[in-house]
Amino acid sequence: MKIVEVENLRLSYDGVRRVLDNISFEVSKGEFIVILGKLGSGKTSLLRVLSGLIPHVYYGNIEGKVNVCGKNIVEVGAEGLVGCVGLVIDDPSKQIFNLTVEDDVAFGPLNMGLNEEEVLERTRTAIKALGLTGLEKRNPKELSGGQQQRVALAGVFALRPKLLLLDEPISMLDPLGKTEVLKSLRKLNRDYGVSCIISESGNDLEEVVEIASRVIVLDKGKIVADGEPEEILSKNIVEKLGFEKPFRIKLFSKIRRMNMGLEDIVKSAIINRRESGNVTYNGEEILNVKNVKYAYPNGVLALKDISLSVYKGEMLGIIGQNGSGKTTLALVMAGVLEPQSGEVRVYGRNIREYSLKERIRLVNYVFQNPDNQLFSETVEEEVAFALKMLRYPPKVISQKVTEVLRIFGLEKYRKMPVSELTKDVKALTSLASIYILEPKVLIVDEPTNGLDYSSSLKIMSILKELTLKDKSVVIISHNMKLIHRFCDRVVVIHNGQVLLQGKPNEVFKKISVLRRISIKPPPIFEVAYELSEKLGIDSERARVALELIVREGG
Amino acid sequence: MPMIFEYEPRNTFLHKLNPIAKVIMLLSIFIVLTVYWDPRFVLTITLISTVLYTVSKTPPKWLLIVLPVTVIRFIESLILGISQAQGAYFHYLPPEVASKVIAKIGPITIIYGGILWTISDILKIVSTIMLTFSFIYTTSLNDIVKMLSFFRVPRKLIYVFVVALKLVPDILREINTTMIAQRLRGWELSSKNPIKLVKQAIPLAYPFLRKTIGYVDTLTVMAYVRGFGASGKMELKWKPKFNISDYIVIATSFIGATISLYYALEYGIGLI
Repeated sequence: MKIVEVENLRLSYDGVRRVLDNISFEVSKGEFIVILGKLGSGKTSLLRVLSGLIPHVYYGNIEGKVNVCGKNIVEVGAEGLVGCVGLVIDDPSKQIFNLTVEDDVAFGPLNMGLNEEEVLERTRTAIKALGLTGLEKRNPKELSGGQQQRVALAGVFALRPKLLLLDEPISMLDPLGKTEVLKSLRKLNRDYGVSCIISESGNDLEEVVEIASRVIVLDKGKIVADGEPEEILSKNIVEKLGFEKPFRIKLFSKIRRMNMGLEDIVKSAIINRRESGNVTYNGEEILNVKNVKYAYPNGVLALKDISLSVYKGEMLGIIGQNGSGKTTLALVMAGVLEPQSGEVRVYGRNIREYSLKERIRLVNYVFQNPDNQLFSETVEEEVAFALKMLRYPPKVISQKVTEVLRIFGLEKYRKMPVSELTKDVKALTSLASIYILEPKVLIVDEPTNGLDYSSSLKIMSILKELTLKDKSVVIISHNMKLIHRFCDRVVVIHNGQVLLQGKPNEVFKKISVLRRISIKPPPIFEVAYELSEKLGIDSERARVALELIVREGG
Repeated sequence: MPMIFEYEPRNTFLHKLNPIAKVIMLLSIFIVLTVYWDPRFVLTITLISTVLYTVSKTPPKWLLIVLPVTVIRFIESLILGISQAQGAYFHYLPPEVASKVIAKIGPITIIYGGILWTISDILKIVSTIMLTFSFIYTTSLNDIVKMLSFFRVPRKLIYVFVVALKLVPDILREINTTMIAQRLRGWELSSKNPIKLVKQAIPLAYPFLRKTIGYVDTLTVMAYVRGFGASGKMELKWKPKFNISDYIVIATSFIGATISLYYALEYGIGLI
């Protein structure tokens, strides 16, 4: 039975440029499809068409045939698809309307005008299916990101959809949240036969592809590949489009070519290669956090006796689950929040003793969402804003703006209206608008959130370059691969305390500790750990061997 | 921690009341409040409102947040009150009491009737705010949807109400974040000149407006896919469930409002 039938779909918003071009595909009952594409490739537009939001809620000019659950979406719209299609977006907080879990799950069935017994039955079933039993009376805002997203999923599942459309549903979640949501999706797909279409821009490809039965690759509104995950992801087109192949797929395609067993290859790689030595970090200490405790006005103790240092010219990664205290720590480090005990010293002096104008040039913080700070008409004005506030002479401002725009690769956007920027350019503009103050320590909260893989790499590379200019960069992120690749040191925060700190390889090899707090290290560490258990070798040696195999072919 | 205008699940008497009973109780009080002008009676209603506010455990901080707006309304009441210099406006007060001059400030004559009116108006404002906040704090969004559907309020109106209730606390959080983000770029509201102040507030206002528009857009879509708009032709199939305390509250409210109105309209009690 076909849930979705799309034939020669063309979509344009302005009547000229095609956002979707000649798209044709079908979805059968029980399929789990990943739509892989970069930012602006048309993924969200395709999901909006399939959910009936385009052309009924959002304007769009549609050509071709789109049938969902046997209904023509142009004729029935989103209203006619309730009970057939469910849509879940990236940010769980925007999908939750009520203040208890059970109220929120019941919200949809209630809106459908169902009788109370049926509303209750559907609510109970959805709560059970999504593993939310025991949380019924809790306020969703007090739950973790993963739990909130499962509440959103339960709310949609209570409408009994045949097809779930998921617009990057795990992109804003921490590692535990990602695992929880994907596990729930797998359950809905396998146990309840719900077909799923999930959009993905590359950062979570590794995890998402593990539960997919099919991958469709979109580029500039066109389908460029469609097939089974392993077949599609081993093709070169995936890398050409700027995605990184999942580690396991990369590893197994190398092994297949080498015609040997994985264990033999690892053993020979260990014998043939010397391990790379650890580099000791000897920078000057710029910022020191000493025995900091911070509790919010509602009594929640967010930081419990935290101590750490930030050194000159290093890139420090801070990782941990949502709610572990990372952002609070960053705001304390930037002097925005004052700790109840302990202190943050910058160049040996308590940060709160500096004036605001001095402080923002020593330690500054870039918020996760650029929309919280961008307001000027053009990129140039936006970047110049902070210096204008500090009353710099216009000539100096102009020189500095030119230099900063060059560093962040924004010269060509100089006169462009901020409102017309793409997500990645907005993120860069937001970084540049803080960097122009030349803070010694730049704290960046989730700089790659909502971006595709190649944009994420670009931003991280620019931030890494800043460390060569002796700036210290602190990155808060859930993207373990990027943290591993770019950071010099990693601090793991758990329950408001520093659990681990050290070089990325030292931290990520402590798999059992990380698993205990539900942090998923980059896949290479997991495979190395599995191999070390099996072969009785050191996991670090196994990792080095795996790195060599993937990079050089053994 | 609930923000202003946000329900919090708790176990108070008001939380446990059926929303329909709650609305009947509030409507009864509001009707009496509209008719009565004698400060002694209005003060009684203010005391009842204070008890309800306290019993419902609505955060006192909410009252502080709306204090600036309330003060403006107080000033407005005061101006209106003292400008009523004619004792004849107050039909139910003895003319010599109503016209009794309390003070003369230049051309303004403050009479006893005007002062009574001002006190009542201020007490009415306080009572209305406390009752509204208690209702919002103790009534979940689903209960509000159920209750409005019960009263046959058009679904589009219900939708506007639901979105507004969700929007206010979320937007307050966003303002706070935007303010910190802009302060970290050296921004501050420093001028005493109102025109310059408006200009200085642009870095706060623009992201706030843009986020609000984006937020409303997303909320609209998410409410849509959760069935809003799908049930325009469907009839309400559930029946409200009342327990003994709901019946007591409904009966008391109804009887109380009827008696109060009867005495006010028939004998002029509580009027000035």
